[in-house]
Amino acid sequence: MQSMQKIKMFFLDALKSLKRNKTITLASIVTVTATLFIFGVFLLVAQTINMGVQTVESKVEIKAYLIDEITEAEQNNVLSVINAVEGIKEVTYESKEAAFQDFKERLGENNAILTGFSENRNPLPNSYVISLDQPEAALKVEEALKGVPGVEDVGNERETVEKIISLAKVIRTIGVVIFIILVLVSLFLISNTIKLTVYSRRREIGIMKFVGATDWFIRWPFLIEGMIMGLFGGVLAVVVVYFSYKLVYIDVTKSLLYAELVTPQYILQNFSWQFGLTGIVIGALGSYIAMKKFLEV
Amino acid sequence: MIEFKNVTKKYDNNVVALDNISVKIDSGEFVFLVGASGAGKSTFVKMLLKEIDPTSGEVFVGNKNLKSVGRKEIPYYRRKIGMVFQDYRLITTLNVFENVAFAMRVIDATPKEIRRRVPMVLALVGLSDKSKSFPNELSGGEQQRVSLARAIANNPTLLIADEPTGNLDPETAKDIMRLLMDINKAGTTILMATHAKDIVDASKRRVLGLEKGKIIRDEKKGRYAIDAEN
Repeated sequence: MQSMQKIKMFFLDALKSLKRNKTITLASIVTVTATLFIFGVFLLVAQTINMGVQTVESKVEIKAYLIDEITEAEQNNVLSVINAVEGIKEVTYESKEAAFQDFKERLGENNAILTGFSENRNPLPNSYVISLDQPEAALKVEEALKGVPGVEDVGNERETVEKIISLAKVIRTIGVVIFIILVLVSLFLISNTIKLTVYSRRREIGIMKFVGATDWFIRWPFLIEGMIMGLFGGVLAVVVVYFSYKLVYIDVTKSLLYAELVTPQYILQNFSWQFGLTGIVIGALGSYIAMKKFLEV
Repeated sequence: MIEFKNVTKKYDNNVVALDNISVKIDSGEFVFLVGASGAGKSTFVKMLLKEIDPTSGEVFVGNKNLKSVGRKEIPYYRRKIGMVFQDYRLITTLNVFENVAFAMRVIDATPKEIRRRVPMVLALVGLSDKSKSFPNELSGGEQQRVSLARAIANNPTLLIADEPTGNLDPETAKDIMRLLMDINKAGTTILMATHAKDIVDASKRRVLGLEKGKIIRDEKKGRYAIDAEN
């Protein structure tokens, strides 16, 4: 038989079976939807945390303090050394005057300790303020500036940087672990639900086996069935996640003036076909696992 | 056609289903396999289908040592064997035509071949006018004839019938036997496992008597002996 005809036949078989086992079809779709919904919620939480971490990461900055007697050539050299380091976002020059002003402002009412100091009697040095793409770059800048003439010191909140780096790592590792667990759980649930369809058709499978059908011939309609259910479940999950998140989003943004949240739009952009595809893959894999026992002779 | 060489089958629970059996069935023969439940008939049949492998010894079908048939080749091997069961094993959601066509579809027959062959085998079993009926609309005898049609649709060289008359009244059973004889006359080797004493006695064909996993009788025109019964 030609392969196109075969594919058509497998498809028709799958559709027939979906119609015939309406309850199980519905149960399977709901299972996919439920697991992908949990998965979607998890992704949103992870993405929000990730955004938070990124914000903190982008706020990490370090200062290269310059000696007062620095020459212009030395200063240019320092700037080019800094710029050569990977992972740097921006370098700005901060004069000692500006630093003094800034310090004063930050102290606010407690600026009494600055008594005796003024912009003319300023203990603060000139500096380059370096903002970073990755907090890891802080250590690299420090390394690069070691012994460069004109640099007095590199102000580095090394501990903070290291804490942030390890925190981000932990969060991402937890994310990956939860992701794997969720995928396994959903596979288990879906394969068990599909097993019901397979079980209800085990007679047919047995008949196919003794008339000489190959395993793949028997498997394909079930795989297609699984894929169709997975696709529906996945799409449904996106819809449910989108609308329920939209409610939460409107609520939160209403009560908090400033909240760093993923927009509902993000779901449509990043979840839609990905969830459909995940549903298809989970459905196919679930069917495959569900059939394993029934194909053994 | 079929040869068992010192075949023993011991199941995991230590039950010995077949005990050092050696037997030969020639091409074109019609052989009854008789014996009480648990005598080893099912094991004998399952081994021919390569559903199970012997614990020791060798089984040959059509000069092929079943040991050499790999897991992937089993479906292709089975296509040369027709199977008929006591419970017909028809797919209830397919009509008569589709049930027979199903067996051909599975082995990649073209739609053209299916359209040509199915009416032919249905005519052979006398069900031409029922091709649109569903199994639950048919009598037991009719259902068994559908399953016979399905079994011969792919021109098997060997037909295995496992208690084919077990659920049928004597008259209908005779019809089925007549069909089996016809199929045998056309050259297909037939192995029929049965409890039906009347049929075995009336048919005057070779009888293999199994008891406790051993062949206790092998008679050319045998009878269903009382001692092989429960």
